[in-house]
Amino acid sequence: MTQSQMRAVYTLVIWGLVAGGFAALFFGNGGPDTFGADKGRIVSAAILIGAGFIAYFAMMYLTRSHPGGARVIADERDDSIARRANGGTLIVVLVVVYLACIGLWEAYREVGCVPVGWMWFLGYAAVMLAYLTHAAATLLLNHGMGDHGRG
Amino acid sequence: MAGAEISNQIRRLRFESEEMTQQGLADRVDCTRQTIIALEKSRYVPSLALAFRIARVFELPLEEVFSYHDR
Repeated sequence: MTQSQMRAVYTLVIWGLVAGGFAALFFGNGGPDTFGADKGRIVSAAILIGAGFIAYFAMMYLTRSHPGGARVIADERDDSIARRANGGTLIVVLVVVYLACIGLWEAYREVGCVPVGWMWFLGYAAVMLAYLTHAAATLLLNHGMGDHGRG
Repeated sequence: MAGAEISNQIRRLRFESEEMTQQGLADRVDCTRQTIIALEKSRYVPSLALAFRIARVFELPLEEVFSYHDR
């Protein structure tokens, strides 16, 4: 397993847990309609996201060298995969945010306004989705180019 | 599709070079073992620099290690 694959797995775990926790906070206890006015949930979400970033950067630091002691831990193939993952992530995040905005517009068109809590959701979800998509794309591209069969 | 157009003899050449391991070759050409695996399975097309480094390890001209096939 290369450094980029190892980091992708840890990223999926860290941000997957954060995303699950944030979804529980956002959709539970009154749901999106009351999230914007609930300081406790807003602070909890901020702490959760902050913990996610701390865990993520700690993981990046701890995985800066290869545990197997390989001399080269990343090469041109990893760079190529990272570039493709970046491009894919950008498209996925743009499409999802676009679809979410359209969905909110459809859902609240009759009411005339969107609960402000959804802005928190869109902001946080875009960050988490970017990390998760990039990690998933990295693993998929490695799978396709690596020793696990044709991709 | 570019990966399918360029084939190589790396696997054969490794075994003819006293059964050089994938990690051994990777260390000599400054890449990861996974890249050697991908190259041997034609899943990845290397940069010219990496291709030249691999050919140099086997002391062969580039075209005896890599070959390009028109589709």
